[in-house]
Amino acid sequence: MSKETEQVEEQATEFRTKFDQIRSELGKMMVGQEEIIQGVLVAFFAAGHVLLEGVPGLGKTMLVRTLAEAVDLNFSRVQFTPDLMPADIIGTNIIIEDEKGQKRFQFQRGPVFAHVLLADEINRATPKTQSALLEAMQEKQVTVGGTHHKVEEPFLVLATQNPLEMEGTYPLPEAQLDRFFFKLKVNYPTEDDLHTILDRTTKKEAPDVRKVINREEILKLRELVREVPMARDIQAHAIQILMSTHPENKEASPLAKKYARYGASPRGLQAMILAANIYALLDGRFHAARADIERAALPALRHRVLLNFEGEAEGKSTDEVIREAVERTATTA
Amino acid sequence: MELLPRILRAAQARISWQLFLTYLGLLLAVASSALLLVGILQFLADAPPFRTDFLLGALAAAFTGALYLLWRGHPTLSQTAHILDGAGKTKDRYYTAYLFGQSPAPERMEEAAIAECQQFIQRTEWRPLTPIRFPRTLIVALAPLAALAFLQLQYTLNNKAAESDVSLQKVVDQHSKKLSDLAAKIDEARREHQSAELELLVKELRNTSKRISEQRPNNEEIRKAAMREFSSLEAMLQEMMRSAQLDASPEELKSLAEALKQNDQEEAAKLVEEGKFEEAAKKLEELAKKLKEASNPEQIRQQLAESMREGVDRLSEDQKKQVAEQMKQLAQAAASMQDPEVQEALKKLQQLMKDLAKMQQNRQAQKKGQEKQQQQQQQAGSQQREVPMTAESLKQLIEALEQMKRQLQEGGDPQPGEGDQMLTLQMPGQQGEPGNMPGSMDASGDPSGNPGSELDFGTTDTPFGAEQPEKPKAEGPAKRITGSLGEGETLREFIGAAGDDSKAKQRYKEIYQATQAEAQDAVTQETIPLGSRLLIRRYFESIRPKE
Repeated sequence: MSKETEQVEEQATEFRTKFDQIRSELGKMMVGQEEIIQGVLVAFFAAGHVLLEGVPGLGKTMLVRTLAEAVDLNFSRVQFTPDLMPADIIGTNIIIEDEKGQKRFQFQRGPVFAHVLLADEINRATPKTQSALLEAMQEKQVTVGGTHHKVEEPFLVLATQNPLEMEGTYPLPEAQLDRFFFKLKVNYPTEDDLHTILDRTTKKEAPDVRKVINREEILKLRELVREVPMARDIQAHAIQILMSTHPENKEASPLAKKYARYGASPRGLQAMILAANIYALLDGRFHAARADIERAALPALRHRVLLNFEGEAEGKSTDEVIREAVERTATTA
Repeated sequence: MELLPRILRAAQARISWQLFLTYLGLLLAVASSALLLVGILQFLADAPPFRTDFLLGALAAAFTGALYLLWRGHPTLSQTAHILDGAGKTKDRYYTAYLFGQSPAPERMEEAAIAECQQFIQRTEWRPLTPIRFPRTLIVALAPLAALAFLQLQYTLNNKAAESDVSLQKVVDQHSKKLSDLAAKIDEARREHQSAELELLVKELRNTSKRISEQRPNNEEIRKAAMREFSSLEAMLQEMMRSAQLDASPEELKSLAEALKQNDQEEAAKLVEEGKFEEAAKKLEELAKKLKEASNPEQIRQQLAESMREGVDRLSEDQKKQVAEQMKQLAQAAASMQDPEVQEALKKLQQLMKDLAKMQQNRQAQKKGQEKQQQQQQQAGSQQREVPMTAESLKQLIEALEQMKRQLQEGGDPQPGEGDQMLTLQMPGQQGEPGNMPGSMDASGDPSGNPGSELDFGTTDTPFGAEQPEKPKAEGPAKRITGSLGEGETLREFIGAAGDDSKAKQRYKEIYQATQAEAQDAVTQETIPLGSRLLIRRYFESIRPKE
């Protein structure tokens, strides 16, 4: 075995170790929700952003805060309200007076410049405010007064949407939804989980979260994720899943043809590939497989497929469309 | 890294074998179905359904087709790797290792991937991932072959029956030839004696010979037809035998008359010729008296006595010719009788004549009855013939018929009187019983009373009665039922409506579907505030027709 191979194996082992450590730290504070924790971590190491959807009180804020503590990164939280302005997120220029008594503008950074940003109830803010955040998510920079201000890596935005109280809200437009790496649905905890939650949160002692990784290690592991190779046929498999969600495509699944208005974008394909790489590393492999692609398909594509009126009227969900697309592709492979 | 290509090649061979078996099974199923179809066509064309050359050709075609399909579709090494990954849930290790191994300069991650995959492949048994199974389509191929075997068996059985038909037909043809030969012999006798009865017999024999030699569709029909003809011919000849016992044929009567004439008994001879046996008996009585008084040579007397005795003794058994010859000898030796023997012989001769006369009377009575029935049958269109007896030929005919019948009886028990062109005979004792003859009808045309026969037209034209039943009336004015309210509670509800005849032109579901597209466009194109779109969607969902 060559040196480089040994080096790669060491890095992969380190990745798995760190991942497990962060997961275990998050697990201290968030009971159950294993899929959510893993999804957030996968998006984190894939340099993506996550949209969390769930009813209030399920620990979404706790999750993000704990993550920030475990990875030793800056954390900020923004509660989106209808009167929130873009400057409240990205920052603004303020007039300051220097030592000489001269006044000048100085850019005051907004909460978007944290490494980990929790955008709570993002759908309550106006589209203008939403766009300001989404620009930062995509461009990794903000523009204020003609000046570009870069956001420091790693930059993770976890936005939440409350599926209740949709009246008076501004659901994210489809184009903006596409910028999120994963959309994760936070389910209500089970009875056993509720017991555990009570044991942990209503007692005198609270669990302590320790820092397990630093910023440089995170960036290094992110590079390792992007090094994972994928065979061409495996890529073709991912592309086939994506194309099956497009209703105009002749290979589209029956549900997609009937209920989908638009299929997933290429960003969804990128998300599937990167997530598959991470799953492969976690599984001790150095190559992504079709099983990894299929595992990443649902969280990566569910918010990128748009249903038509008939699909919404009949109560169909994008999850059904994507599951059928995955099954059909697996059968024909 | 050498391990993987070796494994892939071995797996490729196994997969190719399995593919070949699958294709072979499929093609054999198709070939056997084609064989069955060809077999059916052969069977319908009365040819052997199963042929070895067809079977070999089908097998060769299936084998060649399977080889060709395998050649066209045999898996490559990368496809083999995919198959192994798919069967074994190996997380695409076979394919990844194969693909990355093809790269001349794999990257460090690819090298690590190759190494990891190889470790996995080394510790994994790949053979269970490529099992060689018996294709199920081969079982499907057996069903048409079984049907083909059944067809062949059926054909073989039919062939044997046909062969027996042929042999039976030969037998019947032989009998037909015998009948024709008999007819020829009797025809010679007819020409010699100019007998109308013999002519009728000859004609009947020839017709019978012709009928039984006609080709029938199967063995059973041949047998039935022949037995029918022989039975009717035998019955006719039996009747002729009985008639021969009652009636004197013209030849024998003539010979007897000749004999009497030679002995100066012209009057007796004349009476015998005319068939007046009673009067002939009286004449012979007178002859006996004369013989008693006359002096004749003793030898002649003895001969006459002996002849008469023998003749009388054999009367019940012999054919007409022997009796006639006996009577002829009797008459010739009449002059040489001794007194007691002569008296006795003459008495017996008298008695013979009286018996003949009595039987003649009975016969004439039967004839009248037969004639009457014959008339009746002629009115109904059936044919009855009465053929008078002949002599030795009748015996020969009867013996021949019995032999023919014995030969035919092996294959079945035919019903006399069935079939077409049947000879019907008026059997003794059946006078005035038209109902006993199958298919017969009386002069009035009423049904025979034998249901199931060919000419039975049923008992009535209106089995359900003379009057046709009335059809129930399907339509009619609505009737109002009147009554009075009881003591119980009543509930009344008046529902106001716009009109009695108002009806929707279109179903709501159709209207909804027709306007659904427009509503969707309106929702997406109109400038509706984002917060209100959900309300609009909920509205349309609420008015959606329930399935």
